[in-house]
Amino acid sequence: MLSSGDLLDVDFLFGGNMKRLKLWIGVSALAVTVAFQNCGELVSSVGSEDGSSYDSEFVSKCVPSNILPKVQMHRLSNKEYQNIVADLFGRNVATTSFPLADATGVSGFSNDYARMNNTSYLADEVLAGYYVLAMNVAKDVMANNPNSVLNLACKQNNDNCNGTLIENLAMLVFRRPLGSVTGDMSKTGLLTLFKSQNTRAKGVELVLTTLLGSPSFLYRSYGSFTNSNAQAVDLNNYEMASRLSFFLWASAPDVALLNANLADGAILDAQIDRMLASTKAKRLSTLFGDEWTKYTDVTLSPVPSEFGVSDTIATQAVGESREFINHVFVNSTRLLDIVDANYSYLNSEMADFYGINGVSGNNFQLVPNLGEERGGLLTHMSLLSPTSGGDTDSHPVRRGLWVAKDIMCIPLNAPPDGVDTEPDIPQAKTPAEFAEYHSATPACMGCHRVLDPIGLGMENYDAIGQWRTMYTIGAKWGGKNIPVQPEGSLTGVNFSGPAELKKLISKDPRTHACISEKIMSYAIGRSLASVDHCESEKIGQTIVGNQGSFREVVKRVVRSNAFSKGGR
Amino acid sequence: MKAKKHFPELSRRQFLRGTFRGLPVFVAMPTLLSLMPKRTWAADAVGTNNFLYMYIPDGTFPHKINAASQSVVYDHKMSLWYPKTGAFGSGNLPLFLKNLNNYKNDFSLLSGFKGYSQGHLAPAYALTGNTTPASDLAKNLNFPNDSIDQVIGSHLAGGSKNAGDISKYVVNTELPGEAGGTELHIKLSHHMTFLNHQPTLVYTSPSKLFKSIFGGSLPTNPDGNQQYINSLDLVLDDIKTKMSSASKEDKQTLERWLSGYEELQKQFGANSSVAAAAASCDSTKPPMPSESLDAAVKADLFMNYDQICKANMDIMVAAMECGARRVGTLMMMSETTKAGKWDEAVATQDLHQEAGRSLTLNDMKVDKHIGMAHYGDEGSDMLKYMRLVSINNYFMRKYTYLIDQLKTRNMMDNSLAICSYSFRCGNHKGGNHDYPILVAGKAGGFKTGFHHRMSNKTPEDSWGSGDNGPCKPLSNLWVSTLKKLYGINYTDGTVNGNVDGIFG
Repeated sequence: MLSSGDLLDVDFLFGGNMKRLKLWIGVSALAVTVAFQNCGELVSSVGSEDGSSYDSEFVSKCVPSNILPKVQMHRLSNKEYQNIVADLFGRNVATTSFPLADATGVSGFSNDYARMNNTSYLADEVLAGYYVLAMNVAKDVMANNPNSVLNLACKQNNDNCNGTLIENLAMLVFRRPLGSVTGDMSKTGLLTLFKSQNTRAKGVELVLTTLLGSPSFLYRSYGSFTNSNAQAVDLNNYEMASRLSFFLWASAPDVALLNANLADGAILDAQIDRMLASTKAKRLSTLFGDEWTKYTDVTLSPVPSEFGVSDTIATQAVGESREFINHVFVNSTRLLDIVDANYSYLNSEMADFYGINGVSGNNFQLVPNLGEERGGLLTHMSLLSPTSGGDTDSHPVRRGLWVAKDIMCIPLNAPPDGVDTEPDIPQAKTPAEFAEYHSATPACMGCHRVLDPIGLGMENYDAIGQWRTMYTIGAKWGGKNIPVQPEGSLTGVNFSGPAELKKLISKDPRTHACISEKIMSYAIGRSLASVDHCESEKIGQTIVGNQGSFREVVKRVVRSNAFSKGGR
Repeated sequence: MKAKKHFPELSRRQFLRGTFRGLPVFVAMPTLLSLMPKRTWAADAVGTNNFLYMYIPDGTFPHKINAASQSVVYDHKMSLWYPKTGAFGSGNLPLFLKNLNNYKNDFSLLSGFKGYSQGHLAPAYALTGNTTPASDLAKNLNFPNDSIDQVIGSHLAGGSKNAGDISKYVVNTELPGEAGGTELHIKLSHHMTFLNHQPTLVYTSPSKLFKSIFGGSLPTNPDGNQQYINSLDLVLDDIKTKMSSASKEDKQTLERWLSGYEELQKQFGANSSVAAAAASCDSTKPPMPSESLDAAVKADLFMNYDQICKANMDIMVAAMECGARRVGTLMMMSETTKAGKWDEAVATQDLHQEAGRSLTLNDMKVDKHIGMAHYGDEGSDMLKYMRLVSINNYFMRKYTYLIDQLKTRNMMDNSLAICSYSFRCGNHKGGNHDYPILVAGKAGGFKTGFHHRMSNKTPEDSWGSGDNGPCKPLSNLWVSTLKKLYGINYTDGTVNGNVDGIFG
């Protein structure tokens, strides 16, 4: 029997074909041999000028694996807990109520179960805190919105109605019928508990405390209790509903989803459409979007007021990106709008900041036909400002790094030990001249040949993301009146300006694979294993086609083995 | 033996509601007590008294030390000890009690008792849940599977003899490395056993003990709703069932939850009946012992023995001051060492000091359990006698520390702190009678400052004569204590509670 440590063996079975980024055929105008020192896995490769490559042959020939990593139980993130309480009972749970703060795992997402099942975080006090949290939530619900529970069954205070109420409540909280798991908490026990109280409301409160305090609520599990086979098995209907709901709503499934026959493809698609139409789907942009793009990390951003702009612009910028991503996910037929679009969601403050006329009011609204300066995440202040790294001017390397890692998933390592990451290059008057130093220095060139051109292509945006054609701030690059030269080369194709750069990035199969990987990783709650890449990249290939909407990608992801099956 | 009538059966719920003569409610609602001047309730209200018992399983007293050089005569016959009986007077106490010279008015020496059981844990059989072989009480009082702590617990539980009810007050099982604290009882255990001649260490973690009583950083039951405990029961059952079919990794996670929730349930339970007391403990409890002490003790129990004893005694006394507990037992480290571990003996420093020189391995080569604890009067090995004296002194210092804590917290009037060894003088046969018993405190009107020698005219006990003449059944002392401290009445056969006026 294989165990969790056998993944390396699985890799071995697939041999060299598992090397995902091997060769990007067709784009390499300059097939040169480059030593990529300390830059990802690519110690030596023949391929594109920037060294990273894409193995299209592997993607076309690989077969999705049915041997998957074990799906361990994983605790709800705080945001998921909050969403569930809000969805089921209409009550808010303060972020400060939780014994543990959310944190991102290896995948970069806070729902990563490698993080959420880490028992080292589970001190007695922490565990006790979750039960006390359940007590407080139950008390709050019954004090302020009791009908959210009491309406789940007939109102008479007898065993029939109370028993039905318990069953219906447990179904929602446990995300499956009571008794559907071997050795499950018994309805009889809960009813006894219920009846131990003097009032019906108190009885419900105690039952709700018990359910919310149970690991059956606090943990998500997919088949791991029963499946000891090497081959992954299909999730049952409730597990599928739960996984789908946490993916699209970051919350528990509703009754309609729990009762839907998701093994039926048409029903599954209909449910996905229904879920994306729900306002709860907006959480995709505030959770998945935030954590993927990291645009809410304003700690590294320059202070807007130092640039003569109100500091409130940072908040508005986050709003723009969330609305934009929500639109791309829910309404757009083209997922690649994420990178390259000609529209955005702006309010008057944000439009003023960008120098765009004709937008009024505080509400974000769709603003089309933005021209070359704006459109797509790469042009959003929410991304451009934090990637300036708190400097008073832009930072091409950091911007390039963000695109390379989070949009194109190009594997990169940290700079070698002992390398001065902020060298003083007196002769460098412009970012482009500074980049020449990187290209000429063996210790740097491996990664910076990838990073620098991308960052230079975004130099039309200043430290806080406003458009410029001249360097007007900071003597660092030679003082004022130095023209911006946003030119470079990506995978051997020259570009000039962010508009051309966006198009190159959006056409790059690494971008397609990367977006697919991010979506799948968030959907299944873990970073992808080697065995997952076949499916992930096959889905990535579809992003450029007619079925390239987020909706269609979701429908493929939920049908993937990684999503629809439980590991051994 | 006729069946005994004890106290009326009363459910825990009734007890908590206060329908039983008011007394148990008095115990269950210590907030009221805490609002009263301490001297008032401590002296007058039976049921608020504290019973502490410290015993040394293999403790020894010199059998026949006649050390002219020390100008002190020792004899295995307690009747020859100074003073033979009566008030301590102005003279010094016997050498093994020298650390108690400054506490003459705080304690009394009792002798002339005989326990039923022989063996290392004879006194413990009566006082704790160790009931194999049958305890004195079990033998004499027909109170099956009971011991002093259980009887008190049963009494405070409203008279129930149901094991489940009693277990909410008294721990029956001694778990290695675990605090045995319950609502009314603390069982501490710091000892070393000799299984296959390999020392096995057992100790009570101060930090766990602290948490079990005061809650530590665990949350408390916010409104005293007992049903939260039942709620956790359901969750715990759920976890246990799931563990049976969980994967290895998931099982680890579930085990963690099981452990954590069990601690929480324990905490909720502790808070339920003494919730007010626990709250009042805020001003009395010592700082929570660092968990690093646990690690240090695990690494070297011997070297950290003083710290762990003091920490746990601090907790025990503080818990009693605020009414969170009423009964506490503390089994101490075994008296001696093993040859291969001679330099790690708890009393090593004392041995060096008493000998006036550094001891060598050769000095200690016979210092095994049997060689020391069962030495008896075979030969006249003065060094061995001195070791015995030093070992006893070591434990007496622990005892005086306990007395100091009670005095510091003004608890002597409502506490009895008893210390005894399992073997009488010399211990060459594992004798079970006429061993010295030290009792500090004035709870129940106990008279301190005396050597209370039980009359040798006391009728023979029912299980035969002893090897040194008739002694009073030890159960009489315990029965008397139960009556005086808690108003519990027992009579049966020769056990009548007559202890010759040790209580005023």
